Amino acid sequence: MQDVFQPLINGILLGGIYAAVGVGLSMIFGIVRMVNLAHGDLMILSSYIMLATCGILGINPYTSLIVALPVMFGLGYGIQKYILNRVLGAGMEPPLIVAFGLSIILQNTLLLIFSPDARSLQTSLSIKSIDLTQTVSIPVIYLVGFVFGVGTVSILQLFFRSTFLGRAIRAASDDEMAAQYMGINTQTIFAVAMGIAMMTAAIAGMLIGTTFTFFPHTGPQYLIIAFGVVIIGGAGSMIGTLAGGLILGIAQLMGAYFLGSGYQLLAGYVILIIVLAIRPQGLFGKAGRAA
Amino acid sequence: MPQPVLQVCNVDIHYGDMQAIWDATLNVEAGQIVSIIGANGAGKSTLLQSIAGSIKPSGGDIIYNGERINALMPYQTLPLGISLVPEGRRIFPRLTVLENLLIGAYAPKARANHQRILEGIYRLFPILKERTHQMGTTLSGGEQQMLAIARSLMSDPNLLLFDEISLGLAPTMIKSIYESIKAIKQLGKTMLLVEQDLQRSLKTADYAYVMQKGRIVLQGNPADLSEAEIKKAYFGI
Repeated sequence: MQDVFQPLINGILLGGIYAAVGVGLSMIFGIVRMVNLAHGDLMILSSYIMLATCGILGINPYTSLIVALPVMFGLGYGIQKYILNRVLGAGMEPPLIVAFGLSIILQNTLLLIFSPDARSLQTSLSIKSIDLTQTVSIPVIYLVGFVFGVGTVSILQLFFRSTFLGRAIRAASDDEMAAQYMGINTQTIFAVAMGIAMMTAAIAGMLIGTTFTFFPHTGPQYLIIAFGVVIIGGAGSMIGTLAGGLILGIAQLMGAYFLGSGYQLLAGYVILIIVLAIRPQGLFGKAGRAA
Repeated sequence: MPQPVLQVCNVDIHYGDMQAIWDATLNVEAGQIVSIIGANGAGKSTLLQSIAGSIKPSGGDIIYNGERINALMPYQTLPLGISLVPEGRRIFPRLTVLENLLIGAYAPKARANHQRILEGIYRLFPILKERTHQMGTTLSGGEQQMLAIARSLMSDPNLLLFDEISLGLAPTMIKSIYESIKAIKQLGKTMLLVEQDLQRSLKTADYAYVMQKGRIVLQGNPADLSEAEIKKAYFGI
């Protein structure tokens, strides 16, 4: 029976990483009302940016965030301001196609520069663990991932509730014209929101890189995980993102424990389908609109 | 004679091929309450929104404190001191009363003084202080209108534009809203009201314009305008 605690602990910790993977997609889904199909590839792009930064500067992956965070913010801001804002308001399809195009460009550019080989961000924490009992231990790299994931979501929650900029982003997502009447340049606000979402993508990229391996075409795999988190938790809800990540992580690892490793992904998506059937807007989403 | 705060000069507005406003000219002096009245579809709200920046005139000039503002967006007119209380209130549904108020103080100048302005707002609308942590859209219609006015006041504007503030409200609430408009005048604010409520609007205004089918057809001091004149201009009969 004690054996079940190990996948449970791993599932919870993996859920924290999944929350970081999903939070950027959730934000843009909830605020700009856009499905950013390139989100997974942008996470992997940041993994490669950190790989290059670590190689050039000889620093560890966590320190390389100092470079990746502003670069990804600038990239997100630029993509929204100069590309996506131009197609917003023209229906669902144009931003979807632009994001899909961006995804293809990113994957192939990474392939050209970095080759198709699998990479990872090396850290000494990867092999460390904390023994709780003789049979149960906490993998430190998962614990760090969990702390980063929960920390990211908590900081964002605080940002959206307690700052003028955070409230302006929420107001712009509620009613764009009314927000303009309050002096908010909504086009710039959407670009800032995308920049922040890309900062979360940088954190997710670091967690993916330090916990798993990645290669130029790994992005869509994490996009699907992000979708799972958003669908379970509800678009735009920070608490929902955390809950969605935890539920998906636990479901996957418990599924693997009880049914076999081949059922890991299936178990996660069974939960997803159940949530969709019972509460289509997600556990913390609001009916009729993204929360 | 001092220059008017707002001058609307020979403004035309089109929606595509359809002309909605013809050659509209009006002035608003500092500290005045000016009312634009007219039946539904007369073009009052269109004219007001063009001043706020959400609709662009196809001809003429809109001058605010000597500056031509035709091409400005609403987020650019607000920092100049123009704030619109929109028709239907447009309270942000996922924000609390306090958060809705603080959004009104988003512009840098107002943000720096938001605590002081907020205290003044709570004196003007004490009910909002009691409802601080409620979601904005859970308030009654009248309270939401107070919130919409208070949210606009949070930007510390010089010129307030009110679009159909009495629409859908109970008579007692309308009375209370107009009392607050008088109190706002005491703060030295200039106001431009767009209204269908003829009697209430004329009683409050220092100067009135009557619109009919996109044109200003009558203007003057409400005390000098006869009821027959106004009704003829208002209804076009």
